[in-house]
Amino acid sequence: MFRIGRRSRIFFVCALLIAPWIIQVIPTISHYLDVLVFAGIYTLITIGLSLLMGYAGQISLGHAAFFGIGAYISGILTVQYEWNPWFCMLVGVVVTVLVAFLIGTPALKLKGHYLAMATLAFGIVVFIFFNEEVAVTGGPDGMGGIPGLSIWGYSFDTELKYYYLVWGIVAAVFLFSVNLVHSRLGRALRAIHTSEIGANAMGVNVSVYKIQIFVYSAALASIAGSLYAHYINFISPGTFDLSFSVKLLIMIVIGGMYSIWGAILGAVLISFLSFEWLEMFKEYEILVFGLILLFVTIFLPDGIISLPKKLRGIMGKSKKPSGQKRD
Amino acid sequence: MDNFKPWMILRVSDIEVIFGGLAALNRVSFELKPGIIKAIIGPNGAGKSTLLNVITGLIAPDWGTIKFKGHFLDHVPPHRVSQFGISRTFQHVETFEKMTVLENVMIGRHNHMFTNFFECGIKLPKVRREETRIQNEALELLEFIGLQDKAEEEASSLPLGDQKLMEIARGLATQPDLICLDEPAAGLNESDTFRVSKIIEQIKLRGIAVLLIEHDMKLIMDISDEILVLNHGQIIAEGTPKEIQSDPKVIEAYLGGEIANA
Ligand SMILES: Nc1ncnc2c1ncn2[C@@H]1O[C@H](COP(=O)(O)OP(=O)(O)O)[C@@H](O)[C@H]1O
Ligand SMILES: [Mg+2]
Repeated sequence: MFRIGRRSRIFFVCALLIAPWIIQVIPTISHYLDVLVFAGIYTLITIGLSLLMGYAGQISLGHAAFFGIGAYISGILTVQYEWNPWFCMLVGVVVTVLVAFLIGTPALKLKGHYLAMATLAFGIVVFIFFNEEVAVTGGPDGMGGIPGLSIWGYSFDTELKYYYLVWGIVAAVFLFSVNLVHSRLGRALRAIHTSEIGANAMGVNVSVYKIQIFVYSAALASIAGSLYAHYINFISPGTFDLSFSVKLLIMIVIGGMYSIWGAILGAVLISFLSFEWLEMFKEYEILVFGLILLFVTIFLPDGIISLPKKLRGIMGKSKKPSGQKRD
Repeated sequence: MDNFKPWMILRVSDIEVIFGGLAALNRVSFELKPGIIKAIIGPNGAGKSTLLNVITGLIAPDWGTIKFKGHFLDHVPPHRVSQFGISRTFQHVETFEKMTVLENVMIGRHNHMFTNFFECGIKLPKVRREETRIQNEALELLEFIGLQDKAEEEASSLPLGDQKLMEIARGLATQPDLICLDEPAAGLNESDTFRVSKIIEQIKLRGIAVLLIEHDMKLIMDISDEILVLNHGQIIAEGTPKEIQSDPKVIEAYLGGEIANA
């Protein structure tokens, strides 16, 4: 929908590389690096959600749970069993894939509100598990002492190093996802979005593709969870509750879910809003989010990423609508 | 099997579909020879679309069997039916929105592509090769249907007539042996209707059998080889256009003057 070409990608990569250096020299915003690490972690999830919701049209209110499963498996296996963190991350992904497959197979047969309810229920069950299984998860008190990440003796022990690690992974995931979107698979997902009947009649095995993309997005959330756990070294159930699933939805709706770029924009924007710019509103923060969401859905239903196109349209310079290769 | 006829491409036997206690199809049986155009006519609500839905796997029949090229297709899911070689269009177009006309047709060739999830994600060279191949094949079909100039336009922004044509191209893209067209000319003007009838004849020339639901009697009488008349879920007549036109049961049952004059 939004042509964002090679040039923007190069610009994006440069911005990613340079941003920390600019941020670090300005004392008042030097802590933005920390926010950007979280933004990168959230971006991993929203990219998957963009494929699942924006492209395939399937809602999920359960991705906080996959995020949590990744985080807790990394936490438990590194703290209690002292396994290699990277291996734990892999175990997290494998477990998440299995869980997502088991949940997704029946749930994705449902449509609209019913799918939302099913994934929501799943999220709640997992949240309760984190809270109640005190012996395994540490319960409501959470679990600390999760080690940081290192590779071949090189430790990602500063914000800057972790920033590059996280955004490096984001870049790889971004490329993989964009390739998917531009392949037969992305095309099938977009077809499923508007007409499952039509896609079916054209020989597309609708349920298989829905499950594939659900599982893929869950796996990304799990990786994000592991990265999260190793970054802040402490996890507790509160991070993985329903409100985080909702926040993820807000991210992709505000950024623009029909585009992977929108997913990135939304994650970064909401991270800054909730960690920084809306601090002063305290408990009214959620109200401000609500207002922003209302504004975007009414005036920019395709998200903030569609703003330039919209402006061009208003200025009367809109080009003839043509074929759309969306990223 | 009684009166086994191996040359029939499709054999529909005793199909019954019941919606809320009412029979939408009642013991419907017929056969289809390969490469011919068979029209299904009948008043609104007669069960024509339901019959196509059963044949294409969208609805599982409550009773009866569908045999296509030697395979039983009742209770086979629709995407498998498509793989067996039955394609279709829809009475109410099922255009894939936010996709170009070309991409819509390319969906029809989905099962003629073989790259998997990971190959697509890392974009192996063969992914691009396959994509180009499919794109060219889809373009050829658009040329055949006469929509090549609109290939890059958003499909859902096309006039209804073009969307219906696009659905035919998309249906052909699956490379079927049988294509089911549900009212392809409904809502079209005279020139578009003429275009559709020419296209259907060419589809037949390609050796593809056509099951055609239509209300345009002139079109039906001009191009179909056989006609099947449905009324209240039952077949009331079957034969060549000539036979149907003079069948007193058909004339009396519903078509009256319209059919005799066509
Ligand atoms: N999904 C459905 N649920 C319930 N009734 C249906 C459904 N589809 C069709 N019908 C009913 O079945 C009958 C046949 O419909 P249909 O096959 O669409 O007729 P036609 O295509 O000949 O106009 C109608 O009475 C219609 O209301
Ligand atoms: Mg109908």
